Amino acid sequence: MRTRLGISCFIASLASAACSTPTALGNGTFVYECVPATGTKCASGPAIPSSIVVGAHFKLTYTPSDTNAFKSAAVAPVSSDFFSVANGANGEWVALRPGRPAAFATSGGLALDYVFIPVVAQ
Amino acid sequence: MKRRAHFAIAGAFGVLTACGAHPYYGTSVVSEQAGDSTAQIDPNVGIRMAEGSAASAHIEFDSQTGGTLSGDLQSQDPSVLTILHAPRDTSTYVFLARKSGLAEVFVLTNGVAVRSLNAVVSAPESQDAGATDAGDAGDAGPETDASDAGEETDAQDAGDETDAHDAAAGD
Repeated sequence: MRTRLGISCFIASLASAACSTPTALGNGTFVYECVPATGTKCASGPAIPSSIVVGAHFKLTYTPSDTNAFKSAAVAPVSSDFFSVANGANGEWVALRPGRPAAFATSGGLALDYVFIPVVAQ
Repeated sequence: MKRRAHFAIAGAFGVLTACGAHPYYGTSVVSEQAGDSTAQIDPNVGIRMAEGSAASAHIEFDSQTGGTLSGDLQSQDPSVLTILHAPRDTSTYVFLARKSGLAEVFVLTNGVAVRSLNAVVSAPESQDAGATDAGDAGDAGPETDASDAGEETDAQDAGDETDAHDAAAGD
């Protein structure tokens, strides 16, 4: 699934920059994957949507640009008041409350990047 | 390990308390701040952020004579405010407002705590995305000399910058 997303993102990027989500530090790419859930609208990815609704389910991964220096990265919400994450960092996220919270990626104790995921009330 | 960090920080404060303020530290220079535009990051004054937000900044520590000191920032309570380094540039710090509350942040130069300042993480007030104004947060307050803060400092978590990493672990 992630490979398919990556390929579609690459193809789309030939025509536009729609797939790239600007990140604060520019050390890699966040990929947002919608997980449809009953009763909530599901914004499409792989770029992070301009906003998602409370209750939206999704997955969020991060690919470092320099895979030689950083083999992988863990992604987490800055505050667990805004997002719950099931089954570890690469599990399913649920938006809990409105606001403009951020998520961040770490590797080896360093902050590789962060990005904002605006959440609106349903 | 944490106990060792505790003693290290406590020892640094002991030196500071005994000898007075750091004779060389002058000021912190913040540049290239990014992320949450409402975040106030000033190691000379204090830090204010809204819960859930993130910001980054390039920070250098200048000596009184104009040179640059080897410095660091450490959060006394990473569960409130986590401070991490960015890769390839140890002068770029990432600030993560984990939960609302107060935390002390220590400015260290050459391994010695030279200043303590207040960090305020405010609870989110807005019900709409994009309006995470931290303007009504409590006062970050003026900076205080680390020598004033040493006695009350629980440095158990000072320097433990792996909390965020732990929180993010699992893959």
